[in-house]
Amino acid sequence: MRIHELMKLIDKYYAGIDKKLTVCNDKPGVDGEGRRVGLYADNDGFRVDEYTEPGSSWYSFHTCHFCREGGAVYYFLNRSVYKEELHKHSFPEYEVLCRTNDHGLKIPYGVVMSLEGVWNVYIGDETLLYIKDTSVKTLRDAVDYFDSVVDGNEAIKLIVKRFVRDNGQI
Amino acid sequence: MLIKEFMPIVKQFYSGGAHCIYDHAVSPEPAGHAQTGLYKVYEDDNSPSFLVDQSWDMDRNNYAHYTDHYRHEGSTVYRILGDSSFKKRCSLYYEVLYVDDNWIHSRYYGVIAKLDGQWRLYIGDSHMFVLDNVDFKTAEEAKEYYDTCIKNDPFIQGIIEDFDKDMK
Repeated sequence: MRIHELMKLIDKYYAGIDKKLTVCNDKPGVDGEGRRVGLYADNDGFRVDEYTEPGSSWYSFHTCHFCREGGAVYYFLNRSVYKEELHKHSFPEYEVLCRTNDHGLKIPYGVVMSLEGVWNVYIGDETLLYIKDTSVKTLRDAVDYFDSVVDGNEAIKLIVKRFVRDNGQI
Repeated sequence: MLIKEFMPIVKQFYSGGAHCIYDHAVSPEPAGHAQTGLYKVYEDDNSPSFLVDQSWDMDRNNYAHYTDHYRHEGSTVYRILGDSSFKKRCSLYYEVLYVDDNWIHSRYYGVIAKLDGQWRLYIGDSHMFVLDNVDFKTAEEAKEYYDTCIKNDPFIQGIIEDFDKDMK
């Protein structure tokens, strides 16, 4: 998933008055309330910057580098504090897909979520697949279904393999 | 810490002396330091593998060259920061963080240092935290604070575990 695609979903689905998270496609501003997260392109990669309210933690600023755009998006979606906050509001339920790389590290490479009643699977930077099988009802079903597809489809396998290899830094 | 973040520190704080440290990705061959020990750090073409090469004067030791291989970019940086000869010639005060397994060596996974007026914590390859509302006189004090107040944070523990299991 690209950062601008994530932004569209955030704008559309992350609603409510007591939101504690601000997400932008740029460096997040220093002033503001709650957690402020920015996902943006760096000179040689991608970054996820996070500002927290002073006093809420032992750190006020945290940054992370990624060599793939999707890596930044899936890191954001996979972080439990964000996941919890998004789910408290009306963001669709989702599950981040992870693969274990050659070194035993779990690398997030995609996300499964239901959008407008359709199961969407984003993998790598730019690939979007839809699950058409109507027997897939729950998020768990969708993840299991996709896992079985990945194992059987060479093209998808290759996308995942390359992405996991490239983004092996985190 | 990534190599691109480490090189400006070398430039600003390191006085050289016995070693010339350079980023292989930027300058593949160091000029005029054939007689001195040197490091180079770079990403192998057959990634993900990161190397620290060290060369010495031919007659100075029983070896002239050796290479350390790492699976993580951060490991190459912490490997050099953890070298006492580097620390001696570096005017930046810092403490390297490691997992001590009471075995032959400790496994480095991070560094705590004061940069641009902020106490910063780098761990793994890509995470950097700015420590809030604290100031320390020395890097040792900062490390003590890290050990007591930060180290056991579940988020931090997760990053360390993921990074460290690759080095065992």
